[in-house]
Amino acid sequence: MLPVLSSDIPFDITFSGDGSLEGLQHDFDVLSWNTFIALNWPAKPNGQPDPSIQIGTKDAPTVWQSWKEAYEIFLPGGAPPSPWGTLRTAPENWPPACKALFKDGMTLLNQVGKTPNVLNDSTQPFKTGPLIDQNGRYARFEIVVNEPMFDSIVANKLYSKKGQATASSVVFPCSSASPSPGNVGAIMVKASWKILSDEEKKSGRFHTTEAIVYTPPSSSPPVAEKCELLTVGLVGLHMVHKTAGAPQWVWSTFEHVDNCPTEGETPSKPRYNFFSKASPAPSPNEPPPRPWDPNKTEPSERRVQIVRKIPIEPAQKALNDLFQAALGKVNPKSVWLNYELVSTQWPTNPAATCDVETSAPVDRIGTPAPQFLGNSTLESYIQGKVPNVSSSCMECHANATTYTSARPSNIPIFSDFTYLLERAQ
Amino acid sequence: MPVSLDQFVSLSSALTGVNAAQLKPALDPIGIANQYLAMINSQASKVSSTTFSALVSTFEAQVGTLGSPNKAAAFVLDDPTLGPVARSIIKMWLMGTWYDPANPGTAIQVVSSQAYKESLVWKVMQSHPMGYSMWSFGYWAQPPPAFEQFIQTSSGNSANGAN
Repeated sequence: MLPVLSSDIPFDITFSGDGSLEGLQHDFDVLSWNTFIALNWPAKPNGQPDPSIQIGTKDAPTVWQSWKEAYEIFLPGGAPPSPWGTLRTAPENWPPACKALFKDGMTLLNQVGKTPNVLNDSTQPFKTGPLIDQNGRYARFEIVVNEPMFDSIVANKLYSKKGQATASSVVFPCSSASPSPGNVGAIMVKASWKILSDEEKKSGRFHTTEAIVYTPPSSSPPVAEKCELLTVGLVGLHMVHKTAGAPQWVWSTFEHVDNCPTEGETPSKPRYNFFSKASPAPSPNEPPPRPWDPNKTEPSERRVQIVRKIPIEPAQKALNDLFQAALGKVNPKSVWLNYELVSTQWPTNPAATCDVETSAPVDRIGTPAPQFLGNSTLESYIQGKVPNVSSSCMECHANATTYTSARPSNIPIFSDFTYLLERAQ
Repeated sequence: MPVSLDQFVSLSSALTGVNAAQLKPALDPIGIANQYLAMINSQASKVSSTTFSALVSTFEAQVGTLGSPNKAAAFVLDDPTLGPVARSIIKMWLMGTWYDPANPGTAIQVVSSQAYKESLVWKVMQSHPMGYSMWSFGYWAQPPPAFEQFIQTSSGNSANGAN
């Protein structure tokens, strides 16, 4: 039986099996897919899901794309962000030429304002390097949060350094199924986009959006400030939900099916977004050599060669087939048929309460399953299976802190698995 | 008859004094007990399958005879043939490293990168592995959690939060 496609974000997993590791993994993967469907549901102008349209009937702006982007929250001077529901506007400190391109509410990709590093948002975790696609263009990223998380940031004044200096702890809200109708918990979404060629735009294989792609200026390396109005295609999507049953959050990651082949397998597709079958190709999963200039179209020898280090498991592949069949029933040409779940990371030893710092004093991370998880577009260069080195959502994000706090010496404190709070000004 | 995982975990619990549910959690994405069992069964351990089977069967028989896993563990530790293997098993759980039973000071190998970080010695110390912390920034300014939160003993203390 095909799954029901719904615009309702699931509050938590639905137990379906025997409570074994494999059974629970399946339940979390179903949660991931249902969340993916709900967050990518066509949105009304106010950002709410439009119940009159089925997902995939046509490619349309999604629910999560109207959520608050990091640059809207952590403002220069620590100013309070505009209320939820306010249409996204161009940053105040932008040059007039960029502002002229920006239409209120549209997607803005890349960091704005005074950033110390030109590649602040075009590099990967640990500044391992940018991701350059097979067209020679640099991938771009964005991070958005949902209303419960935004409200918590605002209520606790975590958007500014001054506000954080009064914070003694950070605890984002967990979902709750009761009382009816229940509440969604804090959700973070991190998306990776590629700039599409004319051919890719026509292909119908990507969820697309018109975005202002902004490159901030830099003197070292020399990079010119630039704004471009471009069509970008979604290539990677992390969705992270703090649920009552998983206070260490549920970490779901999806990718475009054309991103890259799996290591050791024969590349079967005619073309990949981040892998070339032409020889000689650069070494796999190596960042491109410096200097990096996101304004450039890089030559073929500087385009990265990405392979998936950890194969997608048969269980996830089977679930992908099932949900893709349901999506295909709505529209056999749905763009969402071209996205697949890589896996879901979840705590096998979850904290007893939503306050992870207090209720999980020994196993803060919660012994995640699977131990390692990465997205080939978001953790391209740190895939693998080496503890503390290879990509593990929960192990890495457990190290996230605020910029400052009310604790003695104003030391940064545990920020409940988000690095966003370090951006406070 | 090869030693099963359950048999190995029961023996290990008696030898280390750590609850079997902590050594082999019901939800176990790491599978450290499986790795340790595979280590002993490998040629690198320098332990024959006959000796390992004898260790387990003797332990199980003595549980019945002596009436307690602790006494059975003491019995096999006193055995001149089985004792050195039993001590290497204890050291493996504590250090994540397999030591040659015939030369107890000689480490043959760290079982795996997971074994390094899952070694019980860190929990006994109420600490974390060097180079890997499951805690978060600034923890060093606070006293560590109580020992009981790190280690569940086989005699049954409650250790909410340990895994």
